[in-house]
Amino acid sequence: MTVASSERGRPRDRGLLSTELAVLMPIMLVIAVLAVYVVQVERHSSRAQSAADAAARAASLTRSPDEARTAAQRAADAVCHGRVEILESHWAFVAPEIGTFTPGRVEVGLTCTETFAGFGPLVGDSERTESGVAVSAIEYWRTSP
Amino acid sequence: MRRDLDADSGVVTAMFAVLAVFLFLIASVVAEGGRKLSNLSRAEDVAAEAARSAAATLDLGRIADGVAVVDENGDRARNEAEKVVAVAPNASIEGFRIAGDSVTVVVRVSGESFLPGFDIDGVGSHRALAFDPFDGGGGP
Repeated sequence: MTVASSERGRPRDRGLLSTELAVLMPIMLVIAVLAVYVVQVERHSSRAQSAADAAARAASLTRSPDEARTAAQRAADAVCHGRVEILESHWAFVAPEIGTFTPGRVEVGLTCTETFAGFGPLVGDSERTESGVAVSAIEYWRTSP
Repeated sequence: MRRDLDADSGVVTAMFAVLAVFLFLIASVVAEGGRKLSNLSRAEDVAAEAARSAAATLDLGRIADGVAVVDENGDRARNEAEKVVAVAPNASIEGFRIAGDSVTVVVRVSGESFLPGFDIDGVGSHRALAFDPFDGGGGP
């Protein structure tokens, strides 16, 4: 825009920038809030995956399915900031075989449900559930005594 | 002069539109970049577990001779790695190499990006050593 135009003023353009800024600012604000929301969702998802990883690792250090289940639940509870449910359909404990030097593995699938609040204009306060799946190898020397 | 002023008409609006598109593109690239990093991290984690599992599959014939090497016969070690990778969603083994007492596994975790031409697949590798049972103790 030239100096002349701002000095004289043009009825059609006058205040256009301010109007557009007025429109842009709320949009920018919504985008910023949305970005924070997405980050929080991603962190929750990441925590669910970390909980599954920790559960699988903890379970792989035990020597029986019962001990493994308890250890997995405890490890996942320590990571998730809410309620953890280990899914029966995604739980497997395959013991290693020392006789054939074959490793075992633990598969853990779980859901981590946390309270999700603070984004009133976008979504109401509620609980969100994210899931995670992890697997951990059990080396043959960790076989039952 | 009047003609110059007319030429400026709509410039701010056009700039606003271009900025909005750029803003959207930047946000999209950041979001998809985050997904790619997540897939990379996941691929490395899965590769580590697959390599551990494969490295714990020892050659029974060589064990009798007192040598601990990874079993290369009949894809036994690879099958163990496959079982681990099969648990992780969208993961597949891209590379598998046994070198005596070590195994290197390369895993790809695939993802679909909503940005055309943007690759968000994550590829991670891990090398694990076989544990030598003749080298004392009940595990490392």
